[in-house]
Amino acid sequence: MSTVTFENETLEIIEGESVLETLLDAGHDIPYSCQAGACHCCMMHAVKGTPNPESQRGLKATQVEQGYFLACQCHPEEDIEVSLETSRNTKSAIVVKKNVDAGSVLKLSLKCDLGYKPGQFVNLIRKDGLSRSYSIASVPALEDTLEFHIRIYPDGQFSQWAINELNIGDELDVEGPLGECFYTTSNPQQPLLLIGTGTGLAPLYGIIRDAIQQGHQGPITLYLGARTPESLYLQDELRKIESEHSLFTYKPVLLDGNVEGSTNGDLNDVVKTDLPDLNGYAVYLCGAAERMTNLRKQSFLSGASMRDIFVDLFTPAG
Amino acid sequence: MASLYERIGGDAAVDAAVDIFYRKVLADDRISEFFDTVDMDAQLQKQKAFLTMAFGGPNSYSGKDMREAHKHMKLNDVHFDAVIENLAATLTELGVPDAEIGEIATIGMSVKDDVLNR
Repeated sequence: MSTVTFENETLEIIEGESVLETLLDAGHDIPYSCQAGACHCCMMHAVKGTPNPESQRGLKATQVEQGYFLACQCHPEEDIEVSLETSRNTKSAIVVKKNVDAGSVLKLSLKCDLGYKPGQFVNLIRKDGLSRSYSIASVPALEDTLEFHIRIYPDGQFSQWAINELNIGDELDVEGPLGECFYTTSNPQQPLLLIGTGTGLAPLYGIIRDAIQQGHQGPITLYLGARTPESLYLQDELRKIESEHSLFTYKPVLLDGNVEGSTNGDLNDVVKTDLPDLNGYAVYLCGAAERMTNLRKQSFLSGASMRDIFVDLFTPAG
Repeated sequence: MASLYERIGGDAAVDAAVDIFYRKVLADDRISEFFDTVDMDAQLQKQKAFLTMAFGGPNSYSGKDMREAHKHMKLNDVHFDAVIENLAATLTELGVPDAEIGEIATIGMSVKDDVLNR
């Protein structure tokens, strides 16, 4: 007989009962509704042990990979420890590199012993507690440091401190990783569409290189929206990937001005015109919150399954 | 005889139907405003719960829940009928036989008074 551990209490799972029933019987308040694996109300997170595959049916591939499962469908064959929330770790990190790209983005590299998926985000925490969320642009198989792209705002508390006062060798705390916007190997043939604005490129840059590194075979297309050529960054790196990997296509979309391969117009409109049918695509959306929210709806109405749309909304914190 | 839910394929049928159904209601001017929300993932889960109920699957919806959830939305027959139409169109698109579509529509209709707060 296997057991389930929740909030430091270990319970035996009676033959034929689910993890949900076991926890409810013991008086725990677990949200649930259909008890048929459909509504996803009772989604939980496996801290230790492996949930049975039936308990992960219908979940996003990113959720499966992180150990999420449906408690009502969970009859584990081994002992399992579960929680309602993903556990958050805080680790100490040391600044090993910083440089500015295109005048407005600080690229910061940290040495930190953190397991993560490229595209996830963390909270960077200054010693006095000031904290901001940043996405991870690095790929563990390619780099041994964490890379972040920090937009420098004239009145941004964190970014101004990071550019002016944070030095190589300084320490800060990293809390995470968080988020479900990352690549999985669940379907190597699937066409990938990635759309970003601003430093939304950071997670996308991680996801693209992670996909290629893990042997993705379907086409990978990146649309990047910006006002002018001057507001684009990381251009040499993107051109390099394009020249080395024929499956990758980079499409800058500018309101004004031109660069190689660019289109003028509104980002959402250009994507809609170029790719009217997204049936079968995985779509990654990272950047300005309102635009990405609109793009999520647009992508869904164009045929992408909700299960295959991954969104990371950026909101400036001041 | 197998239950309706089993006959049409259980949770796999719900998974297959939910994207199609959600797209249809978002595109339907009569009711899109009730479904057009920033948190699309949460909205999708609500629709999965609704479809599971309509497909005769296990659910814990009560008439009281239905009333409570819809009573501030100022819904009328037009809205309700639009949802049932989109549900039937979704099932037709998925090749569900007419007999089962009829059964599902009947289950859907059974919550009408609760949803419209009558």
